[in-house]
Amino acid sequence: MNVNVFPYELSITLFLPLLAAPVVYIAGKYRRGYERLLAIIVAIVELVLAIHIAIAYYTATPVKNGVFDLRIYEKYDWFKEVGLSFYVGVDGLSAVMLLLATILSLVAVISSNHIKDRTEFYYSLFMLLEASLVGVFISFDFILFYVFWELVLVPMYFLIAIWGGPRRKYAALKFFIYTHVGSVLLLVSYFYLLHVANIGTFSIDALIASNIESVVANTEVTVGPPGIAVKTSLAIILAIFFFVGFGIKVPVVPFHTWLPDAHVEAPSPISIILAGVLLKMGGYGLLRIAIPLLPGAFKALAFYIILIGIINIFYAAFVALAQKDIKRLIAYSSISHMGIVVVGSVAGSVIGVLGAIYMMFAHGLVNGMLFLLAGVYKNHVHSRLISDIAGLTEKMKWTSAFLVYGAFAGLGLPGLAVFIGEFLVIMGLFDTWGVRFWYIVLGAVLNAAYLLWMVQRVVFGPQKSGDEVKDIEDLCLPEFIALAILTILIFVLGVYPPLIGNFLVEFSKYIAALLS
Amino acid sequence: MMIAGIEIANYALALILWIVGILVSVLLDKKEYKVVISAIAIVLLAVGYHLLFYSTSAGLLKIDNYARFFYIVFASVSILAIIVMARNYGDLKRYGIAIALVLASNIGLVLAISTTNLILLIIGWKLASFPIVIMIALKRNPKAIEASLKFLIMEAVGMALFAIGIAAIFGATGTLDLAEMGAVSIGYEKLLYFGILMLVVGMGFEMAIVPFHVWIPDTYAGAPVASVIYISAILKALAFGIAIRIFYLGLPMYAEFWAPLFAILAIVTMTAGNLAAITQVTMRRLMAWSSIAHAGYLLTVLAAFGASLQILWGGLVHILMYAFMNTIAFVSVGIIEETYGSDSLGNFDGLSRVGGPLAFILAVDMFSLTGIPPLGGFWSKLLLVLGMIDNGAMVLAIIFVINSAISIAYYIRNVVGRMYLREAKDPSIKIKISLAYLVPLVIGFLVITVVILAVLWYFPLIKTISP
Repeated sequence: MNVNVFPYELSITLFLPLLAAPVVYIAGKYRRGYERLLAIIVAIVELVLAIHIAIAYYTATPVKNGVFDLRIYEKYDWFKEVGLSFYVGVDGLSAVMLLLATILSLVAVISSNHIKDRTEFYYSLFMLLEASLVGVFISFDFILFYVFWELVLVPMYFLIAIWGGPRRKYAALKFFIYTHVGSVLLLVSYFYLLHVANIGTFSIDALIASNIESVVANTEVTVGPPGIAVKTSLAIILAIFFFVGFGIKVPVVPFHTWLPDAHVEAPSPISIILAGVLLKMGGYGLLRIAIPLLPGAFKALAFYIILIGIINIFYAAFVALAQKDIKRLIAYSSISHMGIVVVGSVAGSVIGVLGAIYMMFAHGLVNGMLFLLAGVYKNHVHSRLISDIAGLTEKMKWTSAFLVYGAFAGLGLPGLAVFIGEFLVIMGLFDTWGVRFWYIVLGAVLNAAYLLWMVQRVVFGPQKSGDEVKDIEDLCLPEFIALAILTILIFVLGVYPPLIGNFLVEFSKYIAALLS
Repeated sequence: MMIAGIEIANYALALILWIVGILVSVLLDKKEYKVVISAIAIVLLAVGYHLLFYSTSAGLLKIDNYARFFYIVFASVSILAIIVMARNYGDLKRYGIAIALVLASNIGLVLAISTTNLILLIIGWKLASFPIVIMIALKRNPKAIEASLKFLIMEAVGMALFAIGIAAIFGATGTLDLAEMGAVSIGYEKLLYFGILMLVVGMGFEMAIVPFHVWIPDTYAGAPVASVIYISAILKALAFGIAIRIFYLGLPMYAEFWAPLFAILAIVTMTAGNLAAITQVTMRRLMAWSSIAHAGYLLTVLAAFGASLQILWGGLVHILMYAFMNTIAFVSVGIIEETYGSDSLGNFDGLSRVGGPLAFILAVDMFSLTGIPPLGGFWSKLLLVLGMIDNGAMVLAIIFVINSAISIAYYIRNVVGRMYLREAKDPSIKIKISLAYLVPLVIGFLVITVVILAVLWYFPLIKTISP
């Protein structure tokens, strides 16, 4: 059975939210409530389009001679003299990321019912954000990719800085500047490679196909003051630049400090998008651009990158253990889970990479759910502190149930999605690196520790009763729908991994072959 | 073209038209004729530049694609400046003088950019800048007169040092023509280097290079908005246009001397401009320091001189984009000053609610100045970075992009942040934008969002430009 995309479907998926943004704004100014309705409709349409594209990709014949398995693509020459083309396409990784972006956008829009102020601006920014996210994952021309990569920052800044928590302006600016610095570093590195390759086009697959690393790897560079200077190849330096540039978004541990502030201060629906999709942009960039461009350098650096990933897992888990604010705890758990993604990406085995991408998807769903729940507590109990939200199990039955489910999903309970990702990555790591990194399994223990302790305090601790809690309500309908969607997906992906896994086999084989 | 049986060159006709325009403006200088005289001036500028565009080189004038590009910049910003002047200088009793000064300045602009002869260059350049000295002072308030005086002194000193530089270079190379100079190799190197240094200092005042930038914040703070638009967009473009002609055409073989010099100046200028802008509390001074930072970005055109002309084309696109971005910013300053009386950044608080369209356009402008895609400022900076890498200036490129990131701190935090994230002090005061201010805002907005795409589409045309 062959499902075909209709003409320009990718472009429509990309431009629909972009065009919807001003329409949503005007609709909201015209009649209150129309902007939310229109935003939800657009999000649903985007999700349907994404599913359609994914199925069409799955049933299309594989592409044999290209760098990426771009079974669906649209390529138009744009500014030919500058070398730009409008090149969008979908391969396994992109299809999965597109699904993640659209699912989480729908969930976030549905659960934005507590945003009451300047809503037309909020939803129109959200549409712009969704368009940029889609654009990042389907662009195969570097400038186009970079445009959307940077464009994500603009609505994010406003969304955090206007509707966020007490320190929102600081968090938004820090997020903007920090990630922008990373982006410009990777811009310069990519342009340098482009200049050396001299292929006249910005297409990512063209640069990868030109095998540029062999040219760059032979250039020796001396770094550092005389006396303690280190001689490395230029490829290693560029690989470090790429790793830092993408790694700031992942985030890898020395460059993670923007994340707790941004996640905590952002309004909950935006935290869902931040944790669920934006972090994955970093992992996507590493897998799509950095590793295929400089495979030898990343293979040489793999040991150190795995160590950095493991530091992510442990450091973030320890910090999470100490948190009193539930949102901060979940933010650090995001950093911890992304450590697993980093490890899997460079481990050099097929199931490692597959596990890493699966982990990205699963983590997006799980932490999306957890941030949603944090938002429920914030909106209903008006506090994020664990001590304040503890003991409300009787009053907030459904919330507590979902929280228990979410916590178990987050710690990697077999049968739920995160387990598959974690397990595959660890197996992949042991496949290629032996039991050198045996202690990575202890990360799962730490993960369990902070999540279970949090659940124990919030749900299973001494119950509060009396006047201070008599007005607290349980879930409202939009929140329930959003949580239900995520719950079902997490369960389905936990018991039937091939649903997403089947998309990723080709790509994982490609990356593993590069790094082995 | 033939007029009354006499063959008159296009450029001569253009200049004659403008001289006629000056006379007419001086004669019809009463305030009542404001709209008429502005319209006549705009038409004369448009027709004049059109004629010039289709001229051919003759004698000491070299009207090539490089000059034509600058004609576009000068024409469009001059027309926008005249439109702004209709309101900004609107209460002047003798309005026609201001128009006459703009026309006179344009004569100088055209002369300076269309020639390769150093003497004509300096004549044209100063003919372009001295009318502006008067234009700044026309409104006669103390700050404007102070600004005008600083500008005058800066121009005079710059001209003197530039003239010394020309003399030294003439002594060293034996010719005043840049094209000839480019073909000559000489033995008096020390004299030549001295000449280059004097040129750099002389032009550095106008180009806003860092040790010579001190006049800019004060002048931008005191001068009327239309003059500031003129200085920051047109005169700076002219200064860079001349500098590129001199160094790319006349002195390319000494690039080992002046390119590193410009690299250091570029780095210092960018960084100083960006860092100082963060602490400013008034919009005019913020934009003045941003102007200095952007001059630093443009200096990389001279710093990254090499085999590829990509850096030049990027610089030209950046000059074009920057002219319009600055116009939007200063027109906004004009509107805020009219509404609140001062340009303090506190007056921008909450602008998104009291003046939504203005806040939107200014926010887009700020994002463009920082270099956020898909706006004009991003594309021009992209082309500059590509040019730097093409010519091997990797470290410069990295410093450039990091400075771009630093600029977020003031464009986004101080301006956009205040407009969207804070509450207006007095929400009852609504912003009214008069037509004279609306037109430049809208045109500038269209340029940085849409016209930039057209510029990229027609990039092959830009690639034909060489100095």
